[in-house]
Amino acid sequence: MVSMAWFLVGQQETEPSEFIWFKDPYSSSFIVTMANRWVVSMLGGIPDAIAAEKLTRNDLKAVWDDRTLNRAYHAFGGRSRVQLKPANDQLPEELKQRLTAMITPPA
Amino acid sequence: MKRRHFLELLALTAATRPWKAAAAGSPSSQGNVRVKDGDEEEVFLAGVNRGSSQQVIEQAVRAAAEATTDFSWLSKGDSVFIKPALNSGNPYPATTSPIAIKAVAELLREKGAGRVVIGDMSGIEHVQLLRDKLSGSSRELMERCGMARAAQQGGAELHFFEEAGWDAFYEDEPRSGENWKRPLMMPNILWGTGAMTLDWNITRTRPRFMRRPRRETPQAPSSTSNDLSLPLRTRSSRPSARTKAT
Repeated sequence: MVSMAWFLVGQQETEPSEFIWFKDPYSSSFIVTMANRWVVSMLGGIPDAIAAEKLTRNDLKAVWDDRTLNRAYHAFGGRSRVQLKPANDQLPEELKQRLTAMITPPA
Repeated sequence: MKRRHFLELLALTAATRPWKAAAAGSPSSQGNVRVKDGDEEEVFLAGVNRGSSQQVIEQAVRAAAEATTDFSWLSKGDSVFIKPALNSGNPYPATTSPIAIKAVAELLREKGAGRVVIGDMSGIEHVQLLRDKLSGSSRELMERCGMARAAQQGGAELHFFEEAGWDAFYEDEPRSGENWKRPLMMPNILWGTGAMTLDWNITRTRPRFMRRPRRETPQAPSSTSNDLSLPLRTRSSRPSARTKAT
């Protein structure tokens, strides 16, 4: 959850000009689907590649949008409340608060 | 926070629960890890200024790890397998930080680990293992990104799944109730070792203990040069390729 929050912080800080298809292929579900079929064909052959599901676009605006995390909450029985704590004195309080806000479940 | 200020920072994270799971270290305990809504979990963050020396970063990695655990789960002489992110030969942050690898390997050795083994098999675009054919080399990729040298400096051994051969995998069964119904192919080296992942880079240091396989009495060890005294197991079915998608 914290890793995903950190990832989203990085994404938010990235210049919009970086989000073009050849730098960020995930902006196109078609490209991602074709790439997935290529991987499946390598693993299981052409029949499996043809049968592979089309990938559903999953834009991440918050940690709660991540389907893998949501599946993990379901598999392990719930969602814990995370407390962020500094391990050294170099962690900016502002960053800690920003991450804390991102991993605090909406009311 | 200004963007420039943010970019001068790296953060190291370590959570308490994975270490506790590693402490349990048995198939049943791993399978019984349960979380309730609202359970308290502590995650420690260590900040590092961009451009800091290797020594400073290593200290931060240690600080994050030691804040989360006293390593009482690690018995003297234990073997620990670390799986870094080696999806390519590109340097950090595309792959795990060599500095983090070295720091964690040294820390585990200091805390009593007998062997620290660092290994992976790179993605399908770089390494493909078939029954009768192998193309690509994870070892070359690890050397290229600097991780191999760092691992060895930290006192760790290197292991690459494809070098151990087609038969150096066993079938592990997903937990009952999981969506994935077929066996998962796991490298033999994970049999009997605590395993953790160092995922992506030092901004995402995420140790995870992997469940030991359910299996019958170990059989004769392999005779391959890369074998680590781990038994082989015959299978009636297996995927067409030992290839990891990234």
